[in-house]
Amino acid sequence: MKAFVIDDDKLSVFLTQSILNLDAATQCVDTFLSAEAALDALAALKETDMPDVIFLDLNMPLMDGWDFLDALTSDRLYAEKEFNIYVLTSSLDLSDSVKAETYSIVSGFLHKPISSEDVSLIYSRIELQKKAEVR
Amino acid sequence: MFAFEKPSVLEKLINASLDIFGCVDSSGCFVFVSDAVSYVLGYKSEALHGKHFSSFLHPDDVARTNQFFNEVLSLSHEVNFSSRCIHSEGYTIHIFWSVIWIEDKDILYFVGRDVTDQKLGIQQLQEKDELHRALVEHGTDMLALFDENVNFTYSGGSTERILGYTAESLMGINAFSLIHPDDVEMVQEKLVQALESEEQVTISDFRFLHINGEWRRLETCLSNQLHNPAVKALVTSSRDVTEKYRNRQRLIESEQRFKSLFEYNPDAVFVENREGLILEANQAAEQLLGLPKHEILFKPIFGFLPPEAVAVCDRHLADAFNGNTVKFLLKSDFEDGKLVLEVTKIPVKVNGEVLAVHSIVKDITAATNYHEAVEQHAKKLTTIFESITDAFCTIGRDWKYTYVNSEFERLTNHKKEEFVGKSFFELYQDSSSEIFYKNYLYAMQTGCSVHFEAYSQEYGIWLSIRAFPSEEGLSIYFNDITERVEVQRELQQLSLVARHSTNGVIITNAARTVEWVNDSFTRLTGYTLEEALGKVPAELLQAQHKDQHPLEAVKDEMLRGVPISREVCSRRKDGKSVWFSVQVNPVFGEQGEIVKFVTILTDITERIKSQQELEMLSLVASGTDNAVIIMDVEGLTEWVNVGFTKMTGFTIAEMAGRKPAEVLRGEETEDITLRKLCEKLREGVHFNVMIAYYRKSGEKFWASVDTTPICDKNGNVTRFVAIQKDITFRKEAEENLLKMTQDLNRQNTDLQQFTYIVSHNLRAPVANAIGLANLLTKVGKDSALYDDSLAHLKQSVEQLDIVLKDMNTILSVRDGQGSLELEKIRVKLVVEQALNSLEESLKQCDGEVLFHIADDIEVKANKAYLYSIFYNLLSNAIKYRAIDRKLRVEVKCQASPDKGVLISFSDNGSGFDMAKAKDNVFKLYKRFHKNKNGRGIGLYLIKTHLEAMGGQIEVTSKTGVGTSFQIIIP
Repeated sequence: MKAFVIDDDKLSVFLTQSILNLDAATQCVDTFLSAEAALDALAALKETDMPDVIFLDLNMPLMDGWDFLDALTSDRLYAEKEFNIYVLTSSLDLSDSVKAETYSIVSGFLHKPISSEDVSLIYSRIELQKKAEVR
Repeated sequence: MFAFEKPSVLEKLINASLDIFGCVDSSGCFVFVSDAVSYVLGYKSEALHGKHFSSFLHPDDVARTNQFFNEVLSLSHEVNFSSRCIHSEGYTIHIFWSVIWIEDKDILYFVGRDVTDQKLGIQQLQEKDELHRALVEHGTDMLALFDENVNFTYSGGSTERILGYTAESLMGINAFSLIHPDDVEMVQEKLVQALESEEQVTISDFRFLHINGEWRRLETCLSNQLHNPAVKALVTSSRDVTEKYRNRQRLIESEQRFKSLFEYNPDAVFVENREGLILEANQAAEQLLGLPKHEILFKPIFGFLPPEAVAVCDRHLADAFNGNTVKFLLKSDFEDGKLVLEVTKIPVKVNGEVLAVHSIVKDITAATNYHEAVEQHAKKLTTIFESITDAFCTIGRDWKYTYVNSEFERLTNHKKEEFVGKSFFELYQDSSSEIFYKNYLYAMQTGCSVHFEAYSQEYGIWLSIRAFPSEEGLSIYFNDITERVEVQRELQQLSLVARHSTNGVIITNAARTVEWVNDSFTRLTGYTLEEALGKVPAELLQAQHKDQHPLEAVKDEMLRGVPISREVCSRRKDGKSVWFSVQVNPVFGEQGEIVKFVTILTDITERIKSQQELEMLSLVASGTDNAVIIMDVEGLTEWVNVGFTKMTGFTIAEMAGRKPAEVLRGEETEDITLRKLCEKLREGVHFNVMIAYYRKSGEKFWASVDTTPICDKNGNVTRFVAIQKDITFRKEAEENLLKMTQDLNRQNTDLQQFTYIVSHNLRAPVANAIGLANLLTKVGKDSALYDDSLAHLKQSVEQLDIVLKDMNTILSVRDGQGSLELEKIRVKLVVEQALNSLEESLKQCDGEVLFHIADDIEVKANKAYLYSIFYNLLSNAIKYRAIDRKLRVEVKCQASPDKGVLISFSDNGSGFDMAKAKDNVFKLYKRFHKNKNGRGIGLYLIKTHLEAMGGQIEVTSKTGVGTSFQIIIP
């Protein structure tokens, strides 16, 4: 599994990355302290090098998580692309999870901190998905 | 000299002989020549003496004769030959010579005889024979001889050339074997005839077999020469007449053809010569003249013509002989009556010369008569059509105009030519012609006549149209009924007006008794038409309380024909009183006499009542506490009550002729309300406005103004009445309430935002702490990760502490708002304090702060807040300075008497994108710089502090240039 972590909170990034690395299935974790950097990285990646899963924080300066999602949705380059984007936020505000549901490219909504159980659940979901695609 | 010494008998004989006797010596020179030479050749014998014989010979014969002479010299016997000599007069003489050479005497004796005639005879015979042969061989005739059995004994002439048989091949052949079987009998008959009569017989045209098998037509002359001993044969001379026969045959055919064409031509045809004699005439000509052919031929044609036609025909005949084809009409009285003949004269030319003239005469009397009859008929019809006073036209079945009369031209203002031959559709394409088309079509299809009235848009008139169908199409009559229609319409409209008018209408006769009343009269008075008929209206409606109806009083005026207008009180049928405005108009007859009166009643009871009411109301209005204004239709004050003066301080004298709003408006009077006021006045409807007005004293008050339009009977606004109440107290209460609501709203929004902030920012370090604590349980105590996690856990908890401290600060500012104590503070002092606190950081980044603040500028503020504002602004400037240049901060301060103190705080730092930041700049926990440890609380605090002191802050920034804050503190 290749994962992207987008979060401006270095502590949170450290934590998420560490939990992910505990899972054996994790091959590589790329971390980004801003959404812009993550977008640039995606644009530079080849089709085959795309991350299997993206963990996205919402509250970030300048471009926040919503802006990132909007940019992905409106970019024709990713129109056909199926991302596994999980919003990972410290917010307990209900309005955030409701809003996240309106984005079709968002696969799930997680409250920080992420747990190993969350990770293995997400991974197994992605595995199933991949198998279905192969079939 | 010759041997005879003396002239002897012999000598005499010789000299007398017609033959020339003589001798020449061996050289050929004459020794002696007898006298005959002068007779034969024209030379004297003496003249010849000693001359060489050759000098008399024909030059062509000299050589031959010389040769001969030399031969003779070696011979001893007589030799004969002939040669030509030239007569002294130049012509040629043929001489037959007999010569003998006497050797011992060395003399040659000769005798010459003139054989010219004999020679010429032979030559002529030869020539004749030659001529015959040539004639026979090269002539066109075929010659043949037959024995008595008609077998060929000779064939010659051009037989071989014409029939292909050689002379030899025909020898012994019987002639009949080569003659066409059908012709054998005829030829035999002729043969018998020839044998019997011994005369020459001609057998014309029989068929004889050509060697190639084709039959040729021959013409043969047969002569029986059997009994002629020199011939003993049947002599024939034949000629091939096949071509001639064919040509003749063709000629016959063509002649017959033309003959029949001529003979059976339905028109009379004459052939005339130059003098006008009839050379030929056909059957039709016989019929035309009523005479058999023999009485016509070779008679002058003029004999058959009536005298007046002769000159015309003569002239045209001469013209035809000049080579022109002429055609003319001949109308004349013949014996059978008046005839119309169409004559065509065609010259018959042979080699360019006109030999005769063919005259083709066609009797077109009937056709002409018919044509004339039709024309006359048409003329008659035209006269009839023109005499029709209605506009009239005819349309063919093909929808084309066939005729229009002059009235139609006048009606349409178009010429006849513009219609005739044109299609109805071509001329009318607008939709208004639809009704015409439909009616015409109906008439054409059903054969029924139609009558309809229609409006012609094109000519702008009403038409009554009658269309009568016939075999040919339609005859259509138009009548301009515009006037009638318009009068009718006007009448209809008038009657509609009269009938449905809300006014009562009475029509009375000259004696003032009712003839007609309308429905409104019944409604207004209660009397129906039947009840009113024959009554005098004034008596009918006489009010009880009056002795005489007011109209009775003006009776005399009425009868003088003066229009009358009065307001009268009348009595209805049910006894109720009504006020009418009565207008009586006389209607005059042609002689100026009064025939009718038209009386219009208008119910003005309401108006009278309202007038009375108004009078009472004004009594009320003058006594009330509320201000009452009466304005004219323009909105200008006519009257105000005492209440108005009490409320505003303005008296009626000050207000009269002025608009109330113009007088009472002031600084805080809203333009929008004034506009609404004007608008509603214009519309003439009731309305209410709340408006800030000013008393004469300048004191502001709130007024609620109810304006009501007062209308007359016709609904026209005549006045406005405005009732004005002082609602200042109420308005103030309202304003307070509004402010309270706004505050509440803002606080509610703040609270919502605060909750959001707490859920994000307070929870973030908590979540991290939980996560890290969990992580610690999963990693080994000796690993680097364990140490990192532990360090991070500590950091998280510290963060949590910071946030909680922030919360505390914010809450304390917000809570303190209501009871905040403000004191006069010198701005410069506070700025210096903030600068001192951050001096260390400034030095580190080598930044400088320039401030231009007058010492005495003071603001009414909370010192701690003001310090916090400057501290935060300055620390932000340091934190977000541009890396590539030295930080430079400029603080300016300026006191404005009406707005307060303006402070501008500008740096040359990294700035931020205004478009991206939008209105989030001053919001809590909003950050605009990556990789900086900002919490997003500084600007929020600045704004909160300022607002707590009633101040404002605005920001402008440009990425890479710097940020500038404008602060206003009242």
